[in-house]
Amino acid sequence: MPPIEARGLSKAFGPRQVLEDVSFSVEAGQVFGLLGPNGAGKTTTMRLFLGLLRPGAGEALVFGAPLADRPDLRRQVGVLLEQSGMADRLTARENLAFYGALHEVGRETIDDRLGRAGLFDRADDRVGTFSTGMKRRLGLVRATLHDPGVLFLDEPSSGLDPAAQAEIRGLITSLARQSGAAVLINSHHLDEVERICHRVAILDRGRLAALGEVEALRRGAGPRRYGVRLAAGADRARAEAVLEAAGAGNMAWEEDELVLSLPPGLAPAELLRVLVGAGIGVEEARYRTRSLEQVYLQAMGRATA
Amino acid sequence: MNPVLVVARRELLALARARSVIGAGTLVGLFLGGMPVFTAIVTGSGMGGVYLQAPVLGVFLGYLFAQQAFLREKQDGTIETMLASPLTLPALWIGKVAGCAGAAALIAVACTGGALVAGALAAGVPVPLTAGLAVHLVVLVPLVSAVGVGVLGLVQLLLGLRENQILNLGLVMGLIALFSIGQVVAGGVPSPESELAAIVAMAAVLVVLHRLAGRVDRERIVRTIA
Repeated sequence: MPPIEARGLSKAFGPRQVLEDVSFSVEAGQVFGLLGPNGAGKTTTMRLFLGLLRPGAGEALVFGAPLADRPDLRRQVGVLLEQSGMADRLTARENLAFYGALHEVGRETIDDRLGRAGLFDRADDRVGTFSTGMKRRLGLVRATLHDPGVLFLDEPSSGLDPAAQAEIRGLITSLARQSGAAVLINSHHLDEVERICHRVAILDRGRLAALGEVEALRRGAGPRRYGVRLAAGADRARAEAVLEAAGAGNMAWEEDELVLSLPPGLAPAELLRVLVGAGIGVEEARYRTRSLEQVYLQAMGRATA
Repeated sequence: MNPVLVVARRELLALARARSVIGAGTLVGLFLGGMPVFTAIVTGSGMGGVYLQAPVLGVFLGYLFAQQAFLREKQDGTIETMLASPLTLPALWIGKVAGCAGAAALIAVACTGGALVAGALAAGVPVPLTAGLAVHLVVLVPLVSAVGVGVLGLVQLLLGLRENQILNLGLVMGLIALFSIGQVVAGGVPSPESELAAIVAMAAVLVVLHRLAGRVDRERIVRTIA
């Protein structure tokens, strides 16, 4: 049983369908990214999992049950929503003590986590005096204070500088790896998702536009793409003709790199041997994968290549 | 720790930080609550006003402390995180009621008690504190304050934490009017029987409000959040 699972999840607000037949699952120890533009249904999906909204159809299951029906399961869930969930009037320690008491976590653990997040010196300062980055770090400490088995993070690195973003990424990755937590992340930061997520789902106007492992999505369907950079002065037209004769297809120049499809059964080494055999120098050759941004744009129907 | 106590403690901490609200509450307590009691003792105009003043003050102070207590969770962006925590809505509601009403009742009773002592000293008479008045102050005033805060809180939850000051004030004034009418019907100084009836009625209202808080739909609140 996956710790997080959406089965045919749909939700409408009045006549507006915001989520339609969305299914995916997140395994223990896995970081799953939910991508999509504003209004795609990411936050609604998270709220459905948290039992804050009722699905119109389908199920949002956490440890095999809807959280709305099993409030006891909330003890195993950590949440960091778009706002960090901290009362500005209270100090960092008071805020954590509140959530710690709800999760039966003691002061020692709170102090330890504050120390690890580099916030121990500010523990008795009001959260209202904290910077956005500090609030975000504190929010992550709160969300993970009770070592949850499932973690929902909405834009975890929003408003953070690059160093703080890297820190948050490290925290999330180590949490999933060390404690085996299943982590669901909503994010606009494709770079962040690409770095830490094992699998992603791309939502477009409430529908699942793409789903799969990050590497598989980047590789894409169909024959693998290969890029060849010729040595200076090499005859481009001749190189194309030689490669075409060898079976390469879909050739196109991207600046000074010839991108092509390798037919099944033709190894890259064979391709290089043909080129070199024809007296055409090769400077560099590599498999081409798309960036997650390209995958995303293609899923959104805005692909340019 | 019991979740209700956890919420109540947090509410008291937040209130303690809102010094202007506490200061305003204390001024209201001294001048609108304490002064009439002091005058009644000094002029010897009877204890009926004392019995009415303390609960009315408790309700008004409860309103003062609670009008932002629920709404603030939405403004601070904390309500969604709280709703996603193991905290139930009835526990959240009653914890906030306990925190706000506790502070309101404390100030109301302190101001009334202080005015009783000050009035007695000024008039050169013994402090008119009977067992009936002690029960009134220690039991009924906190209960009435809790009902006031509870009604406000429940209505705010039902409205999805949308602000409606006119409705808030209307509810509090309505409650004060109801209590005043009850006091008039009971006549001057209430009898032990009418006092007991008021205590039971207030406790029953709190139980009903608690049940109703359990029926509030989280979606109603969350859908008002952008």
